[in-house]
Amino acid sequence: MKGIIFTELMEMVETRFSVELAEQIISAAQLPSGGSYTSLGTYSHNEVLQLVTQLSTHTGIHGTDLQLAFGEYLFGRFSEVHPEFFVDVSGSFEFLAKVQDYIHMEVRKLYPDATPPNLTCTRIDEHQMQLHYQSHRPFAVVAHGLIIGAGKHFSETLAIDVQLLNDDGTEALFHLVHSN
Amino acid sequence: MDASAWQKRFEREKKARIQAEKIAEEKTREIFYRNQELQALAQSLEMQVKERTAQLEANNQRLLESRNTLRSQQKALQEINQRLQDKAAELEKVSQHKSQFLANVSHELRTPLNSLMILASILADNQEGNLSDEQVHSVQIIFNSANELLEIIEDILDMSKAEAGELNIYQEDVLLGDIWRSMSDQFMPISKEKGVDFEIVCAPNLPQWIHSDRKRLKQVLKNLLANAFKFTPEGGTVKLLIHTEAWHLGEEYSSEGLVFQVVDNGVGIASDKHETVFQMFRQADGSTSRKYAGTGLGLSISRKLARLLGGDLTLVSEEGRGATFSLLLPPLTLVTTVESQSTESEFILVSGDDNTEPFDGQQVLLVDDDLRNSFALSHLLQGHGLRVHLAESGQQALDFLEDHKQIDLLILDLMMPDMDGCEVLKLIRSRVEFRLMPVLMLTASTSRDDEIRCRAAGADDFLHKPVEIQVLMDHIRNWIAG
Repeated sequence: MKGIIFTELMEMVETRFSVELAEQIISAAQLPSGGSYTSLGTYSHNEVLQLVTQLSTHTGIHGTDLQLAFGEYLFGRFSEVHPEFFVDVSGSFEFLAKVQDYIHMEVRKLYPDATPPNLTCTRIDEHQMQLHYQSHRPFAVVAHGLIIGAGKHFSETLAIDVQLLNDDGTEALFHLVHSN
Repeated sequence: MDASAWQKRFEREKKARIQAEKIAEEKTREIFYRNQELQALAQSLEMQVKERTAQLEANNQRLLESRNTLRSQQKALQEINQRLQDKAAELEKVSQHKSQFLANVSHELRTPLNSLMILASILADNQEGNLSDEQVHSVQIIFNSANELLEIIEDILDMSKAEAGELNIYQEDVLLGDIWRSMSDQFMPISKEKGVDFEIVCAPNLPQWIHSDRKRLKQVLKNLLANAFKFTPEGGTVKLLIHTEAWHLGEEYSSEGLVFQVVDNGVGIASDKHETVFQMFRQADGSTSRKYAGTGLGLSISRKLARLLGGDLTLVSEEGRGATFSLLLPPLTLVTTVESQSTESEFILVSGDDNTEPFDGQQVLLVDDDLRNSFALSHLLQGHGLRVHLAESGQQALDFLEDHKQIDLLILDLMMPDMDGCEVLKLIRSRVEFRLMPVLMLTASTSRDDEIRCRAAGADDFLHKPVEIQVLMDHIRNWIAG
C-alpha cells in the first residue's frame, strides 16, 4: 500500500488526537517497518489495521468509526494535494464515476506495481447511484468514509446505504441518494 | 511527552527521511539511466534512419542506372528490330526476285530444250536411213544430254520450292499409259547409247487410269531411271516394273496399292549407305574423286514427292548386286471404275519400236512464236503423216482460220507476245464454227494456274514443254482418229 495512506493516517492521529498518542500506538503496534513512513515508500496494509486497532484500544473509539473518520479525512487531504482532479467536476456522483477510469489509471501510470481497488459506478437516475467496491484489502469502511468525504467536499446531502457483500470487508455495494 | 519519546520520534523521522532520500536517489538514478537509454535509443534510431536513407539512396541510384541501361538496351533492340525488319523485307524481295528469276530461267531453258529434244529424237530414229551408226549415236548423246539438263533444271527448281515450302501436289486422273510411254520415250535412246537393256513390264491387272500427280510421278520415275542408267555398266539391264501390291495399313494387310519398281543390276549400294542416298546433296560416294556425276538432289526430292503423294520410296540393294527402288503409292491412287479396268490379259512388254499406224494427212494448225519449236514439232508431226500449218502469232492463226475452217487440231503455245494463247483461244471459242475444234495447249510454263486458266478458256488438252514424243502423239491420237 502506498506510503501516503500511512503518513496521512499518522497526520490525522497527530492533529485529531495528539503527537503523544501517535507515538504510543506506533510503539504498541510493533510494526515491521518501525513506523518510519514516507509518502515515497510502500508498506503492508496490515500495518494500517494494526495502527487502527491500537488507536481504538487507546481511545476507546470503535475501529469502524475510526476507519470511517480516516476515509473522510483522507478525501479532504486528497482534494488539497491533488486539486487537478477536481477541475470542472461539479458533484460527488461525477467525481466518483471518474475514480476507476481516470484516477486509478493515473496511479497505475506512476506506480506500475500498485493495486488499487475496483470501483464500478452505475447511475440509476439523476439522484441515485450504485457503487460496487471490490479489493484484496478489507477497506470497504474506509471507502465508505471517502464517499462521505466526497459528499461533504461538494456540500451535498448524501444518504449512503451500505451493503457488505462479505465478512472481511473486501467487497461492498453502496447505494447513494443525494437530495439537493 | 518526555525527552526519550521525542528522541525516539526524532530517530524515526530521521530514518523516514533517509529512507525517502534513498528512494528519491534511486528514482533519480533510475530516471537518469532511463534517460541515457532513451538517448542511446534515439541515437541508434537516428543512425539506423541515416543508414537506411543511405541504402535507399544507393538503391535509388542503382535503379536509376539500371533504368537508363534498360532504356538504352530497349532503344538498341528497337534499332536492331527495325534493321531486322528492313532486312526481312529486303530478303523477301530478293526471294521474290529469285523465284521470278528461277521461273524465267526455267521457261527460257525449256523452250530451246523442247526443239532440241524433239529434233534429236527424230534424227536418232533415222527413218530416212541416211545417218551412219556413229551419227545416230552422237544424236542419241545430244538427246540424253538435253534430257539430263532438263532434269537438273527441274531438280534445282524443286529444291528452291521445297526450301520455300512451296512443293505442292495436284492429284488428277492420269492415263497410266502416258506415264510409262513417257519413260520409254526418254530412256530408250539412253538405253541404246549406253548399251544397257531397258524393259518396261506392266502387270495384266493394271487399271487404265490412276489418280495421282502426273508431273510429280513422272519426275520420280525419271529420277529413279536416270540413276539406274547412271550406275549400270554396259551390258547390264534396267527394268521398270509396274504392278499392284497389298498396301500395309497399320498391322493389317488391306487394299491394293500401286507399285513402280526400278530394278537394275548395276553397282548397287552398300546397306550402310541406304539412308545417305536419300539426303540432299548426297551420293553414296561423296568423295571429290567420285566416279558418277550429279547434283545429289534427285533421290532426296523423289522421296519427298513420294511422301507428298501419300506413299513412300524404298530401296533394296547390296553392293555390287544391283539396286531396286520401289515407289509405293496408296490404294487411293487406283481408280476402280468398270471402264478403267484394263482388258488386256497379257503382260505388256514395251520395246523401243513404235508400232502405231501413221495419220492420213489430217490438218493441224501449230501456233508458236518460237520458230525452232515450230520447226521441230512440224517435222515430227509430218513424220507421223499429219499436214501441218504454221502460225507465228495469234493474229496470224485467226487470219488463217478465216480461210481454212476445216482444221482437225489446233496446237497452241501459251506464252506469245502481243496476244497470249489464252486470249487467242477465247476469240476462237467465241466463234460458233470453232466451238468443237480440238485445241491442245502447249507451254514451257510449269505453273498450275496457267493450266487452269487455259482449261477455263476452252482448252481440251494441256501438255508441258519439253513434250515427250510418244505422249504428244498419244494425245493427238485422242483428238484425231488415225
